[in-house]
Amino acid sequence: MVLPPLGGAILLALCGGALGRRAHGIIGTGAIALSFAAAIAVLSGGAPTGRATLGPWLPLPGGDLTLALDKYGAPLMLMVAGVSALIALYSIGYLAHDRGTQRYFAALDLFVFAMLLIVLADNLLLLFAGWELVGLCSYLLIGHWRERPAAAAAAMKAFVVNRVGDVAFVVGLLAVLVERGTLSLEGQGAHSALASVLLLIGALAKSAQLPLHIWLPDAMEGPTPVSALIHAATMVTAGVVLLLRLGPSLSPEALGLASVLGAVTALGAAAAALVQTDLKRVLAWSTISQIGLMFVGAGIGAAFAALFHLLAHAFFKAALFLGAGSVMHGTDDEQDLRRLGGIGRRMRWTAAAFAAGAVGLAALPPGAGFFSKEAIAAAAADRPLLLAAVLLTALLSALYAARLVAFVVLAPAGSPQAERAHESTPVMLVPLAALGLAALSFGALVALGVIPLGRHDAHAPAWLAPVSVVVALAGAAFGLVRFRAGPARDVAAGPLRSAAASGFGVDAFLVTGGRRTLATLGIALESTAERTLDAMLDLVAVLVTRAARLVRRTQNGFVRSYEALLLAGAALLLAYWTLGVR
Amino acid sequence: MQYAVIGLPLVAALLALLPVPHLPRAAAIASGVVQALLGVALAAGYSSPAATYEWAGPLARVQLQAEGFAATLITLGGVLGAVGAAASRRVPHERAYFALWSLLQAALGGVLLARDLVLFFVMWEAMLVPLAFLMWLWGSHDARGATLRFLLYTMAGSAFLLAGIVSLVVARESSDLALLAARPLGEVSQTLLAAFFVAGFAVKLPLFPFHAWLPRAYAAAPLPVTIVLSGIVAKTAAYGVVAICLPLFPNGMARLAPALVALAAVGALYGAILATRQRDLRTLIAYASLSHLNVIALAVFTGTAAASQAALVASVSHGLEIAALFLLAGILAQRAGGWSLGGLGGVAQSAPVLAAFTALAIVVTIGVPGTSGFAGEILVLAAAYARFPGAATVTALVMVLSAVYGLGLIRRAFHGPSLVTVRDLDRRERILIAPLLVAALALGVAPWIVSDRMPVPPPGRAEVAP
Repeated sequence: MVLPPLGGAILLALCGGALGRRAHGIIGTGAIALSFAAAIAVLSGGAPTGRATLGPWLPLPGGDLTLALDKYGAPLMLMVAGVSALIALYSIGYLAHDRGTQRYFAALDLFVFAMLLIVLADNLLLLFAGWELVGLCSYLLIGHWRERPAAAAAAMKAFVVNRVGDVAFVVGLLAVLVERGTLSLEGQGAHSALASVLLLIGALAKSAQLPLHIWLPDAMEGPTPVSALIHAATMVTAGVVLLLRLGPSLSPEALGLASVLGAVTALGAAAAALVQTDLKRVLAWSTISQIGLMFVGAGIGAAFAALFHLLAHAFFKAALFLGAGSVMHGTDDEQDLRRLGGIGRRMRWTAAAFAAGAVGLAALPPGAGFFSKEAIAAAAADRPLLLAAVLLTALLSALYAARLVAFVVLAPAGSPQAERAHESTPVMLVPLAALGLAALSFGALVALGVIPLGRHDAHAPAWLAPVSVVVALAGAAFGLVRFRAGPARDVAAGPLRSAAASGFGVDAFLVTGGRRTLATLGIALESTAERTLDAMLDLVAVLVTRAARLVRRTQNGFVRSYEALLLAGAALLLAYWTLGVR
Repeated sequence: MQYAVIGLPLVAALLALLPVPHLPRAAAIASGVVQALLGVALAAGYSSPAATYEWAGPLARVQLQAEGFAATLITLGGVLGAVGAAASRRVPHERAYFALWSLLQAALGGVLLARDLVLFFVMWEAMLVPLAFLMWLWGSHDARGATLRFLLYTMAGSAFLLAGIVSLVVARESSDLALLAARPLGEVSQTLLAAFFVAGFAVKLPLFPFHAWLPRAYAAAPLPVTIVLSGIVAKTAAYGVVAICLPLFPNGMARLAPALVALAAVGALYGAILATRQRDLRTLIAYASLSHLNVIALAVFTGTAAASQAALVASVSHGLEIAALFLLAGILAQRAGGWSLGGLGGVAQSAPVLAAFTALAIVVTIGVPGTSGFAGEILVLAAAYARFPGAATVTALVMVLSAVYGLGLIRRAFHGPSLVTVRDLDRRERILIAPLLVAALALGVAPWIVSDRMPVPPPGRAEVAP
């Protein structure tokens, strides 16, 4: 199940040069589809819960190449492989005129392989391998258009910020190793607070949660299908997957921290999403916000709700991103909301799928997000502050989803490009339609029990369901009415708006802070320590030469002096010996 | 078989002196390859019984034997010797160059095989002679200053080492490593002697803050010599700690360990921070190398069996990655007309294969899982964390900094709009470099290829007494 994407990546990397562009796409997509098919075949024969050891890896306890399928494994694996296959198929159309398809599809396949590792790894070490490879692949894909300085910078930023989390992950992993004596996830007991918090920091970075979310908005420099992949099926959900899989063995402090940070992130990012003027940045901030909700769910122990929302989000966010990509494809890469509009008339299929995704995001019934957000709210019902944050986030989500649809689909065209918009090719529309359908139906299918995902057993108060429907409807209705006329009636400008637009300054603060610290430290070390050491070295050189000259006067050569020095030392030691030791 | 490890390069050195075109280089490459194969055989346990031959009285015997650590390093040395020789094309005075080159290989083999302290020291110093000549005569314009400093600094370190050896041998009336290990000294003298021995090894490694010779030497030496200097000569110092200091002075090393481990952790970070400041390809790689070598130092000074095993994996990985990186950087610099990153940009567009190879070498360097860099790093950190969690945590920060300098290099040289047009790698260069990268990947997926050469006793408690 895991190997086809890896095989595809290797095949493309080695002999992709000899193949045509079309072949790259077919191999890339086929490998993922094969993995999806294999997963279905295996699961339909009754879900196996065994583990398979492929061989030894690192000589550490629990460091083998072992895979296992836990209760989250099956749904996650199907989602990852399924959504990724659709995105890969879509990419064939999206990158039809790109010269770097070999690199692109190789990295895409490796990405899916790495994500499957995270889902299926049986020990923390192998999980970490997938974890880092996901980071590497995101680096490659975000920087796909490497001749653009902005893309190269965004790719590097994504990797470096992720690495900050990875350091915490590694130290957490080492702490687990020392505490428990093994890295295996089988029968894991409770982890200490230190290890748990460190692992949580790793999850924060990968899942773009406060304060390590700063790489994600910039990551929009990559091709749009990549954004869909990073945001929907893979990468950012990895942190949630980690929390789910480690689950109750994390310490209560860490879980509490996860839910609080999740709530703060969800709210702040939703506010930021409301005021972005770039199509993809709205979606980026929305992802951060939605993952925040999943962290709330995972943090309060509502594993089912978090998993449900993760899957629902994968479908509607993929539909939104691929829809956005299709819009951009049809309008010469226009992604400024103020210059779009009128897509409803000119790109009907795209508009429908985009709107379906937005319904899911806004948590309107019957969208996928309605049921899953409801599950999280229900689980948080006995924690008033968290519940308030969840509901407020839901309101804001409905509002910005409506704003998005209003500006892109309903408003009059804002630019010549938007007026000339043309529908995309079928190879892009088929996956788009599939994801749009999933975004509309997935929630209901799970809620009705057609898809056996499980049930949440939190008893929500009776008033909660109607309240959250009203919240979503109110937000969406207000948004549609207010923003339908176009950008002229956008959110009022003001200090609050500009603060939200820049993500409340966290990004600038951390990036300039980090850069400045490193630069200052580097310059300081260069000009002090390195200089001093250099001077010391010269001193040694001078001393040795002087000593040589000195001895040369009485002896007859450099070598002699050198030996004499040594012998003096030896004699000293010898004296010490005879006096001190025996 | 052990004699062959030293003898073959000597034969190659003699052959190099014959006035036959192409023979010197071919002989050096061949002897490197055979040395690597002999190393594999030794590591697999095929060795003739320790050959003993009294050379100058009972205190200086030729006694050759190698297992695990040493045998694997012999393989690495052979590979790097062959690669370096293959990369030394069109050197002036080729016969002298390759004769010295092979002498260096022979001395390296001697260091790794010697089971006798006096012989070890002789070989240790013998390495320095061809190395210094190669740097002095074939290096860049800064070669003389750099060589002189390197020479004097390492000799100052060696003075301590020799003082330690002489006093130990005189006190115990034997220079046989096995005998010496069987009769450990008292606590205080162990600590003192351990310090003397470590002083010798710390300069060569180099452990922070004894590294001042390194940036200049790396930049001034001819590229193949830098590869050997960093890839294998530095590792002999790590080997010295593992094979001599730890068994001979277990308690002394345990006493010194906290301080040495702290220095190594600081050094790993220090090298990485300075690497982020460099705008010259050579010094960037030099400081990155300093950082990695201090990670290896962290392992050897931690002193457990698991740590030594980790040091071996990290050493092999570093040898492979540094060779690939320097070769690629050299090609890039030669074709772009300079080592400065400032003059580069967008090279990926004119030389995609060069870009891909370099990216892969960087990925190994920054330790992404699935590459040998990760295997070495995580094993070192795991072994160090078990005893010195603080130092291991500090060292883990290198992961962020290595991403900054590694990806920064890629971004400056290869990404962005195309500013320089560079001819891509030709077939010969690909054949030379690809095996190094493939080996680094293979070792990342199956690190047990190396780590099984030096198994850790199962209870995992065969550690140095605290």
